[in-house]
Amino acid sequence: MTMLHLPHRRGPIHGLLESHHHPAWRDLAGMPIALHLGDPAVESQTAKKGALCDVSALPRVTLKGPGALWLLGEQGIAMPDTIYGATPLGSAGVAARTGSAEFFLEDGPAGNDVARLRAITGAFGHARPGVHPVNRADASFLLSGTGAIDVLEQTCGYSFRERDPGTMVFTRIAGVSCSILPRTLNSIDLFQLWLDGTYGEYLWETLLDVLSASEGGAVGAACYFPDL
Amino acid sequence: MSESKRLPPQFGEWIDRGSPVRFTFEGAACEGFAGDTVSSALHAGGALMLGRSFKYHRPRGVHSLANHDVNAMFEDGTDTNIRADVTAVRDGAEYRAVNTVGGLANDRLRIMDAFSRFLPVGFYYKTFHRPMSLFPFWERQLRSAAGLGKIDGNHKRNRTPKRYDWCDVLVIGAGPSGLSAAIAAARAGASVVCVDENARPGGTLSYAYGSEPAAQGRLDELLKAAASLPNLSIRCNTLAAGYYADHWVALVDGGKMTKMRTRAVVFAQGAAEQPSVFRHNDLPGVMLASGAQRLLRRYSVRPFESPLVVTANADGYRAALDFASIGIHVAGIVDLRPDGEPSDLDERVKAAHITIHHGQAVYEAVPRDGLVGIKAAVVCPLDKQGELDTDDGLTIACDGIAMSVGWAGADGLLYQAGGRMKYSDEFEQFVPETMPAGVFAAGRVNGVFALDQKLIDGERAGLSAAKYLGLSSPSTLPEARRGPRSTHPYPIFYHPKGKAFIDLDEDVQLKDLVNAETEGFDNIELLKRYTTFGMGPSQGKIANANTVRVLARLRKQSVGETGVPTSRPFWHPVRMDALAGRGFHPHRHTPMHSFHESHGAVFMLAGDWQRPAYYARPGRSREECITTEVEAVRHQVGMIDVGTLGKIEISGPDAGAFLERIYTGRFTNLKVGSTRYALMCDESGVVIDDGVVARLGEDRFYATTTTSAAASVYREMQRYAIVWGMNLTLVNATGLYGGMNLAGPFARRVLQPLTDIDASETAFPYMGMREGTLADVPARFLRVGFVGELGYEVHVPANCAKHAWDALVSAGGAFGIRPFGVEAQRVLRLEKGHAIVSQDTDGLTNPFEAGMEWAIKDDKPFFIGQRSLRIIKKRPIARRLVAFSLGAGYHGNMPKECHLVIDHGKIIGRVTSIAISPTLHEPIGLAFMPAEKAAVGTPFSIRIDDGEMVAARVVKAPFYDPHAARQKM
Repeated sequence: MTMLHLPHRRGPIHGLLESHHHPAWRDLAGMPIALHLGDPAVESQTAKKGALCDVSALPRVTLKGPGALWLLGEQGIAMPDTIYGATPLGSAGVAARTGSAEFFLEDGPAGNDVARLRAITGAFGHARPGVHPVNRADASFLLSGTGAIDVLEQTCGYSFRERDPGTMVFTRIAGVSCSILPRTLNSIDLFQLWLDGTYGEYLWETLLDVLSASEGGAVGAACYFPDL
Repeated sequence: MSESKRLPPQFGEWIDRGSPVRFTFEGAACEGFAGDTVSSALHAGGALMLGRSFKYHRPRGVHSLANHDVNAMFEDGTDTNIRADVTAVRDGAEYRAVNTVGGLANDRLRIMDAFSRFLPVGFYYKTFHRPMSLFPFWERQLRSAAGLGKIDGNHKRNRTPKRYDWCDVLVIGAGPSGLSAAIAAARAGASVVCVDENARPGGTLSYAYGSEPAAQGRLDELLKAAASLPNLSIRCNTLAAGYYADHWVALVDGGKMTKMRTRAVVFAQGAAEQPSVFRHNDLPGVMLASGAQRLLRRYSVRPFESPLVVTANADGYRAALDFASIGIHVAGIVDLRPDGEPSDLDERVKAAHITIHHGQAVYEAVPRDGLVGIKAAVVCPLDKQGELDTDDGLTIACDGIAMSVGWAGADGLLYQAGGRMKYSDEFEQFVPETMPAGVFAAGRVNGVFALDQKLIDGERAGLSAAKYLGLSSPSTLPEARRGPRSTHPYPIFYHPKGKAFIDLDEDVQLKDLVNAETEGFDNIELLKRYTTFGMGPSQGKIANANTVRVLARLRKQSVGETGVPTSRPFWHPVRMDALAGRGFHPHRHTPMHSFHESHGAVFMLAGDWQRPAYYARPGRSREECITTEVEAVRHQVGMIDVGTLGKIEISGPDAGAFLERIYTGRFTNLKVGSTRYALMCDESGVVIDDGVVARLGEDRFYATTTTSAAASVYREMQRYAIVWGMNLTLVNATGLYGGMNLAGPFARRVLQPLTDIDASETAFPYMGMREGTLADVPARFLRVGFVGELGYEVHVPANCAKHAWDALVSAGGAFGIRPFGVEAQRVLRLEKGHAIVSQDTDGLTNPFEAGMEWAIKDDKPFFIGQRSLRIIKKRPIARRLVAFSLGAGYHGNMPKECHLVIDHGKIIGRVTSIAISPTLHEPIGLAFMPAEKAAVGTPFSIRIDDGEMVAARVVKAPFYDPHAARQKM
């Protein structure tokens, strides 16, 4: 059984979204993703002004170990040469090298690379010697709009003024270790954050609180992935 | 209030006359304009007395108007200690002076001034400790009298944002030198931020230009040049509050703190004008000349009607010309210098018909009734030694004294940045001697006082900063001349009747310093602490320089030898809400958090985790709830969320060998599908963590750690893997898996229908491990027994964990399943005699003391702490962790964890765990005891909170199920 089509999977802030926003859900590779949290037209404007979006449901995996790069090459997935280097994966996915023998991959909604890799490596990851797949359970948020930089500058000691979509940054946001990558989705400049899912509810509420001062708010994933 | 002192519109004024502001002060209606400070608006309305002094409750008025006027601090609503001299007046405000009883005018504590001779510095050190029995009374009296302002508990929490910012060059101070530096650095290509604590840029160009028409245009030129540079930002109302390592500067504006990380910093904060010391130099009407000029130029307020200017530099002459230029009658200039002012200012002053008294000084100010102002000054000639000839005094009628006798560089942040200063006898000022890399100084803080030279010095500093950053700059940098000398070496004059104040914050007088030095407090730091000079809200900015001069003279030392008190953040006091900022308190939730919330969990923090301590039930006490949970596990089945445990996956050819080096036990011989207890020590043999290691495959292991140590254990594992060069992969899977421990006699019957593994004792024995599914999700099962019952610890991917938990809860319904929290777990494991690392051990506990020596396998080549443990093993064991009981019949007050074991009045041990066992119906616990008193049956006494001694007895552990039969059902 692979991890991607399990029943009853829930993202780290599923309960929070359900109780606070009553979202319109759809299934994405076996996990609900919130398409909209309110009026889509308003959300579209909010996304450009200052918005937070939960995309924890996007399929992702980390492959560690001496055989990981070979396996990825075998699957036709090119990885950056430099540590912290990032590159697009499929139409809206991301691949990043997070260590000398550690690779992170996330599919966009239409992607299939992560599913293929998970099928090869198995549920608990011992089908391939030298490859240790990590069952990611991240919370992942998109922080977009003109207010995004302001939020980061209130919560993070790293400067994101120079946007480099080719480099993933490891830093702390509001006290939580995060990976951050500047991206552009649906013509909206944004920052994608990945973090330990157990901190998800805390960081979601904290960032929303900061955003609220600039009239920003939470939006659904359809703002950034119109094909969802 | 009396007639308005507001002038007609002036060039460069900061007030907006189209925006009137109405407020009250001490209940009386007042008016001002937007742009006024509270003090300027009040002074404009004729209010000379703005506050009372800290100790003697003497009247005080405008003094510096530069954030040093700490006797003019107000409260407004729930806000307090508002710095009136620099805070913009607020429409609708209701200001009242702090530190009064009965209002400002009729302050009942003003009587303290009459008793001042009985209240010298240190009087309470000497007085109130005898008799000792009265000290609490005096302490209460002193504490109620001390302090400024009252904290209002109704003050609404202000959640100010805190932010980070970055630039190439930070220029602190937007006066002529600062602006010049900022422009030069920006023109060289640097991103520059220039900050100034004032409401507008300009520094001295915004108030000290009245007599220098050419200077008036210079500020406009500088601001135009700055505005043309997109890479230069000027931020006013922004205080550089503190300097920290690596050019990290705390900026505070509008109650918000910005953490500015800069690559280079230029200090151009100018200088703080220093007062002359004479009798009654503290009263309303006596102010720094620069303070009077600020009133005049920025706020268009007449500071006086007929002032006397006491000076020792050109600035005093300029101030006199400023006053004269708006029609103020200057009663005279008293110049401490025998030869007077060497520049043409002397002639200009004479042309304005102002009398100059060379080689003289003010001996005392003559107060008006009630001390609410002055009516004259007594001026005496100075002899060649700088002493006053008081027999030859001249009384000059005046309503104010403007003092301009010297400056002290605003060098606090420079010191904090690591700058070394030296005292210049030539300029009578501390000036920079050596600077750390990337730190530059310009302007008055650098000893440069002439306007044209300040502009050059600023350009030099800005270009130097650019050069330091590798930006293009001229090979030859401009060089400014220091000077002219603007500070008198000793503008301090003793008066036998006292009231010659050194420090207006703390009411420290000249005679106090003399007395303190006589008593032996002859070091500047000791003197500071004894007399409290420099310890008030202005932090000595207008007290330190004169104090150093006094001490130097008393000690017959130079000022340089005497030194200055240490400068520490903050430069000015910073509001607590700015320091606090928005609070970030990261906390973690397991996937089952929503279940816990909806089932009444009372949460406790375990590291960052929020864990259920117990599940509250209506009408039941905490103890009853915990007991119910314990009984469910013992008699039916319970389930606890253990997702907070650290979880580390170790894979690779060296994984087994690695674990043998990390833990004290053996793991290379662990069978696939089995688990084993794992104990971790540090290099000194101290127990630091424990958990369980499961073997998933030949080269795959899965280790659990305690909740609080997960991150540190993983970090250490990573470090050792690199140090030892071992071939393995580590994954911190703590947040990746949810975990639940299903325990109790019915655990198997709950689990079996939901899983594809055979959960029977024969197929899946105690300490076994299996991988399978639970409710159709992949799961790892560990047969462990921390709570002493048949138990299965189930780990599933975090995003499936809630589903798995719900399935078990549902399936367990028929068996009376009950979730249990950390408190019940602690009781259950205590009944089994299991120690919790870091609760029942401390930072010195070794495995022999804790009874864990069985977990040490010393027949292997190496493990962390092995060498130390071999040494420890040869020595006698000093203490042991023992189990104890208070006896089944005990119903008295319960000892608590950390209560001490006392033997003949001496501390011999302490309780580490204690609880009333719901199973055994008696209080049981664990305690550290001396090894010689650790034998079963040994009685001992525990001292509890009220001092009562409670009898206990060492017993054999475990208390419950000694043969572990229930775990192997």
